[in-house]
Amino acid sequence: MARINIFQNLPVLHLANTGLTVGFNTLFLQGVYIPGSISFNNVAVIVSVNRGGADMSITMSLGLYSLTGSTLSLANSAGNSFGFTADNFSWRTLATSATQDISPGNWYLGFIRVSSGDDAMTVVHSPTFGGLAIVSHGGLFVRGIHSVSQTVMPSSIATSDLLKEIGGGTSFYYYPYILISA
Amino acid sequence: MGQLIFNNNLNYIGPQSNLTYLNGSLSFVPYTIFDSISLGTFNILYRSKVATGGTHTLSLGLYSLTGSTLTLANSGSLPISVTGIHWESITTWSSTQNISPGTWFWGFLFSTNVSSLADLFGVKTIGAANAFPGGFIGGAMSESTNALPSSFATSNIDSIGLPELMIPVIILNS
Repeated sequence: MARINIFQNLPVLHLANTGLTVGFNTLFLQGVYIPGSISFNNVAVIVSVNRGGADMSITMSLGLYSLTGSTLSLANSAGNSFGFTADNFSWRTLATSATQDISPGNWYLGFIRVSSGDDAMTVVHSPTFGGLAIVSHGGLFVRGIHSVSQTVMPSSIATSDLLKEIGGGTSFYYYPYILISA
Repeated sequence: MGQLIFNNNLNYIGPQSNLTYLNGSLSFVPYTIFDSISLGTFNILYRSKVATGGTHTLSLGLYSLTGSTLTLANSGSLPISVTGIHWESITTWSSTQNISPGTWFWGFLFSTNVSSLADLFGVKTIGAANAFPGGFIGGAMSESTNALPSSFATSNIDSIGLPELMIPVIILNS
């Protein structure tokens, strides 16, 4: 397999949407295929806030998980706390916890925004589905959220603790744009 | 080459509904498989408009393309009798298959015993004024059919406009 220098979880940035408030302490998980080896070096998201006139600080975390059987295991993580002094969208880089060469294949990207006392943070994100599905799909977990609030990336997650996406509104079943660059 | 546990054509649920498929219509949807994957569970997001007492049946074929001929490699079917928006899964196939990496085509054939339609959720394309000038990227037959063909010439695809090139979100698990 060839090496790649860029991986995006959404196909092209300009198709992504903005404007949804990211719920805090919600662990979003998105299964992706990474087509080539890439260094887990620079991880970035695009966020904005509504400070309401007062500067604020927000902590964000990203987790890289692999799935074996019915358990997601944390292979690596990235995170940072950011101070916001303006309301415009800006790139924010999450510091990775360890050097890793990500091998090609299926991985899961986890994202948490920890509460700072308000929920006025938005991200560039995937298109949203506002329909209401009656039941979730069959087979293994691919995308969705953790059923329990989280403030840190769990080292392991049982897929039985996860909620597959079934629509029902825009609050939970969308995914922040994540860019990994070597 | 590795072995995948899932393969998505979209990393999200497309926001557009009303990717409408008609009774007896056969449509081909491109699907890139990035690495080998065992043909297990096929999932789509479906809105059924089944009238009371009616049923839909989705006949699904997995086709490979060689030159200008689509060849049926595997098939499954899905009877649907509920209404509303729901995920539907196919887990039974005509044969065991470990799908090799590459571009495949899903053939969607809907049939119904009442006058109703099926919608899938996914993304639509742009309604260009001219047909796509490159290689085969999918499309639909304008004539009705009642069975998945074992082979099909892409030259017989005669509908390649806005609705015919729509892409339903598909999650494939091993």
